[in-house]
Amino acid sequence: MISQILMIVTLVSIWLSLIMELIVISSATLFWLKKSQEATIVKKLKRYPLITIVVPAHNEEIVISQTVRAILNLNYPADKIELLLFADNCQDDTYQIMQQVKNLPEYQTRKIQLIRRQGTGGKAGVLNDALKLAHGEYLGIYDADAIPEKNALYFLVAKVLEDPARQIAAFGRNKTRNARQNFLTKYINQEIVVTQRIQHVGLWNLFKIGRIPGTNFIINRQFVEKIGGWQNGALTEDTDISFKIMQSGKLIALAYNSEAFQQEPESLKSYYYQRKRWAKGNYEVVISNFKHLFDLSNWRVKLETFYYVCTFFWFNAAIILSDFIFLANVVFLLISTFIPGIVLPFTFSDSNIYIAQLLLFNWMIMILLYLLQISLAMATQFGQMTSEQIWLALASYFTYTQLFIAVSVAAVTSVTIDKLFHRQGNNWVKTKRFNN
Amino acid sequence: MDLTSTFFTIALIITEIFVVITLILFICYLIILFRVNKNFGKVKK
Repeated sequence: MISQILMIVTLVSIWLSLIMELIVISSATLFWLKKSQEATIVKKLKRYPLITIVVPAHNEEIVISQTVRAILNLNYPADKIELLLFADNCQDDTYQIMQQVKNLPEYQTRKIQLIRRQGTGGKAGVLNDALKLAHGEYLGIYDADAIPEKNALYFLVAKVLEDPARQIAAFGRNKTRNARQNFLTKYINQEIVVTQRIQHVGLWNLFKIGRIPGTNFIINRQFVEKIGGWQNGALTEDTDISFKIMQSGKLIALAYNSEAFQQEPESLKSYYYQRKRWAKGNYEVVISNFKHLFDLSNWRVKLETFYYVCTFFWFNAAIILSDFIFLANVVFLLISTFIPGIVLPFTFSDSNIYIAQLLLFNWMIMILLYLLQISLAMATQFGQMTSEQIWLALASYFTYTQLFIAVSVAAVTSVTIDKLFHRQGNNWVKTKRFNN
Repeated sequence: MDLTSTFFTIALIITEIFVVITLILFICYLIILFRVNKNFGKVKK
């Protein structure tokens, strides 16, 4: 009886995640069927609002020069861009390099302000300081390693201007600029492309739900002031502010063709610390927003909270349990070669063999959907859908995705210890940059 | 018909629905992939 209940719970878990995936992929597919026929048009905007672009940089001497130049060369009227460059608690030459770029003859007429900052609060702290200095109607945020494509800002502004009263912010996407560096960056590239081309697109197309990313987005300055700015010291200040925007009933619009190029971690250690920070930040946001599942909050907040709760708690727990069952059976199988007669702890009997077969079949659909969403996401990027990507996707299902389980277990443990012992665990571990 | 077989029948129908949707999505993916569109990925001014 217990085994049957367990199997039914397992099957329902798989179904729920399958339903969620199918809804999002279907929505994204409809979007791309339509958009793949349309040309991208860059025409003159009705108006060009002043944009204050903020670049928080903490020891970013390797990448800062390229980013600042790319921002200053954006296809947007030069007099409508105010640039705030923050050298935040830097021990390297970030500030000096910013100064060098500012002093270049071609940028003499540009509104550029350099700020050497020694305060606390991490990136959110920098953004709050920028809020006090900014004059722009919108704030544009670019991380120090995010090189915007020439029309990136144009597409963001064009998107918010479609409905400025409701679309309070717009976000683009970040392409991996070191995607071909090694296996890890290839996997990360696939993950990011799927997140942006399937998850973001699917959710926006169907529910008008958007998520503020860490970089390449604009947001109405007055609105940010009204909600009290960014949460100082938050590990994922972007998720936090996304929930606040949705709570207010406003929209975070997707400007799907606004692109920036960002560096991703090239070593496992760097990946681990970055993802652990993200996972911890997201867990904290989910925990603090959990109450909204049961109150009179905006339906988008409820849907997002439900999505995060399922992904971060339910499905993660299910995967960990399934890995545990698999490993336990493997261990018992090894022992049985030395001590005959030992029975495997988790097996199916004759009574539930049909449900077992069904489970296996549903799992296969899950893998197929996983491959399909990667293939679909890659197909939306000109020239990226190659046979190598399919083999990579298949390999990543059994390798790269399992890495995240280790990260999420570490993050849950860390959050739990923080809560139990009132530990200040929000140490911002900076993502390591690579000179390539 | 006992509870287990009822559940199995329902589960089978749900699984079949998933298979059909996945197949439709696969066809759509092929359309997107093979759609010869010279505008795709280009910017017009």
